[in-house]
Amino acid sequence: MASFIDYYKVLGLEKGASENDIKKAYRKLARKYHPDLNPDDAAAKKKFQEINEANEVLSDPEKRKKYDQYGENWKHADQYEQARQQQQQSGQQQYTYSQGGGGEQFGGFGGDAGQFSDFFEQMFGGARQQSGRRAKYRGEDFNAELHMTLTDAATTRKQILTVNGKQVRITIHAGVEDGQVIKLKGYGGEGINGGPKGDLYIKFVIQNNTSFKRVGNDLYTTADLPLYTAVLGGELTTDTLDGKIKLKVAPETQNGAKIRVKGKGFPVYKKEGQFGDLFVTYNIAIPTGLTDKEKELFKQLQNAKNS
Amino acid sequence: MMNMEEMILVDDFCTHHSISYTFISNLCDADLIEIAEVEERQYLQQDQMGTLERLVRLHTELDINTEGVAAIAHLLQRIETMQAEMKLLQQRLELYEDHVG
Repeated sequence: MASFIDYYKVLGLEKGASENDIKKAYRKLARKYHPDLNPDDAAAKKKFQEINEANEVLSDPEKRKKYDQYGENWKHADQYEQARQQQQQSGQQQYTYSQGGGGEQFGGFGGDAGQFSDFFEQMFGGARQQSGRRAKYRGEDFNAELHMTLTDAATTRKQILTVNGKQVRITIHAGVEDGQVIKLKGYGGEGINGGPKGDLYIKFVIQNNTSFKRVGNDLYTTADLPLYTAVLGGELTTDTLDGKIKLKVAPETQNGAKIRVKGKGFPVYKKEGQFGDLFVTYNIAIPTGLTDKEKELFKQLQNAKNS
Repeated sequence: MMNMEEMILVDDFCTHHSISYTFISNLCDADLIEIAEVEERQYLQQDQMGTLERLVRLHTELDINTEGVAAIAHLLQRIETMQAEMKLLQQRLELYEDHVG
């Protein structure tokens, strides 16, 4: 069951607020919480919907009257109306209820959920459908998450999603970022009274299934470099996102040295053929389990260096 | 060569959104959008629609004038740039922390 919403409190107003006060309070809060001014802020979006709903009720004299009349007792409003009508028909005195007055009967519950709370729908849903105003409302925006691996995100792919029973074919371009949101216009909820459909927002959640770290379009990795190759120079085979490559290692390469391999990083979003760079940090592997002969040779090297 | 399938007549856009031509023209003057002229008719590029619709919403839903909309658009752009930069720095920091840890 929906719970009561204090629309005056939502707009920061007292119950006796004038039309002008309501308008001013709505403007002020709408400018603060408008989704276009707070991109990717779910809390602001929710707050904006609450403000809109409060304004929808309090700025409409008919709805405000009904809201003020029943207040927190709105759940019993229809029961009260039935009792009142029965009593009027049987010629008895008018039934009084807290703030008195008649009020119109509530319409059927339900209706399109749209961007409104359950409370609003239950209190005004039917009445809104019956009223002559029939204001148009944009449908609700839908939010969805699409999980994929980093390897998947490195190639452009087409994917078919099922949204509320409808199939949506989307192209996910290589290079999409973790947390990136795309909008599919018109794939949200149905509009109310002929209003436009809402939009579908898809957030990409990318799980790293590789040993690489991604920073923007660049990839970072470490590679074990044999001591002898580090000292004398040579070649080292290492992994990239799309296979192995051979790196030329300069003589006397130090532990922790970082090299850049141009164009072997992550694809740049929506720029086909462009890639970031791959950064490889060398981790020099000190040999273990040396034989006596090897130890002797190292000692000879040490002596040669010290002499 | 301009692809006319990706162009929307300014007049059609104004009618659809119930806004004046002056508003669109002012946004163009403020370098927030571009208007293309083909055979004496003015068009908007489809890839500008996201930005333009956002500006229209700020204007119509929040009753903000063109100068205000322009100021907001520039500030939002700065926020987006800073957020992207912050994300990049966070990723770099993680690299450093992994290395130290």
